[in-house]
Amino acid sequence: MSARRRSAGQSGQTLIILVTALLLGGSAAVGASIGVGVFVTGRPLTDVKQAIRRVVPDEGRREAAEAVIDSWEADVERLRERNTECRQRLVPKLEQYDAAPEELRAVFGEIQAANRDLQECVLDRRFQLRQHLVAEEWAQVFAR
Amino acid sequence: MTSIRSNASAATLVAVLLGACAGPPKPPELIITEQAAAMRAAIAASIDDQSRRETLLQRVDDLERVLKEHNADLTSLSRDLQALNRDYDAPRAAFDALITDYRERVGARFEVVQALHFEMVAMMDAEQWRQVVALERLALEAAGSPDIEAILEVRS
Repeated sequence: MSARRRSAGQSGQTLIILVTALLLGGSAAVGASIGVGVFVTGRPLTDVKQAIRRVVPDEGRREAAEAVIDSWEADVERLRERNTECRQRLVPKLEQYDAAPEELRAVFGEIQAANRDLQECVLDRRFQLRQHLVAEEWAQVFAR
Repeated sequence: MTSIRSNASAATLVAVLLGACAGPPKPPELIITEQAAAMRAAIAASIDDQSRRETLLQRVDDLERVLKEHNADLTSLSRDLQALNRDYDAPRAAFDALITDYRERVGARFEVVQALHFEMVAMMDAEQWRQVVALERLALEAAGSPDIEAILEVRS
């Protein structure tokens, strides 16, 4: 078993990641989840929510934290759609033999703007979630 | 129990992210290598002029290098962000700084990639370009796709 496979199999804690696509981002295999530049968690946000349910005993804080995750999921979906639209405009320009550099640059600018919005949203949600968890709970939810 | 649940989550994640892929996933770096090789083969087969051919092959080398650099940067960013995220007290400014720096590097690489792209276009006719551009697109897509297994290594 290679180190790559072994580590993937052994790994298990939640990641919170956000990335931006370079130019296109997203092969057919991973595009739906990552390639558009949206990679928010190393496991589904629903798993994060389950972890919150396990480790946050206070009902009020737990429900508030779950509401943040719900909003986070909605943000990701909305921004993923926007990024996909940008990508769908970029590919034809890339493949067009007589496209002008300015055309490619314009779409790239749109992608960067979409990614900036995504990054802001993800960080907003991360820090909103933090408000509802104490340090010990956070460590358990996002433990290695 | 926790370990079992964690491993199940990781396995689920990989399955979801990789969709309907049959067989083990290819790391993005390998896809870039393969597509660059295919671009070289297409150029070698379709460009008769030696000088033009050699210049084009050099541009493919340059493209391959910058795309691999970007993909490694992507993995590095995710690792840094994961580490920050685990830190309950990490300030938002620390996240912003990482992302701002990354965004600047992406912008600079875009300029390089765009220049290489249009330089290659200018050295080929439409039919020759048609044979190369699909390969280039796949390489670009791979460059922008995080290496899932490399990212998950952070967990181990």
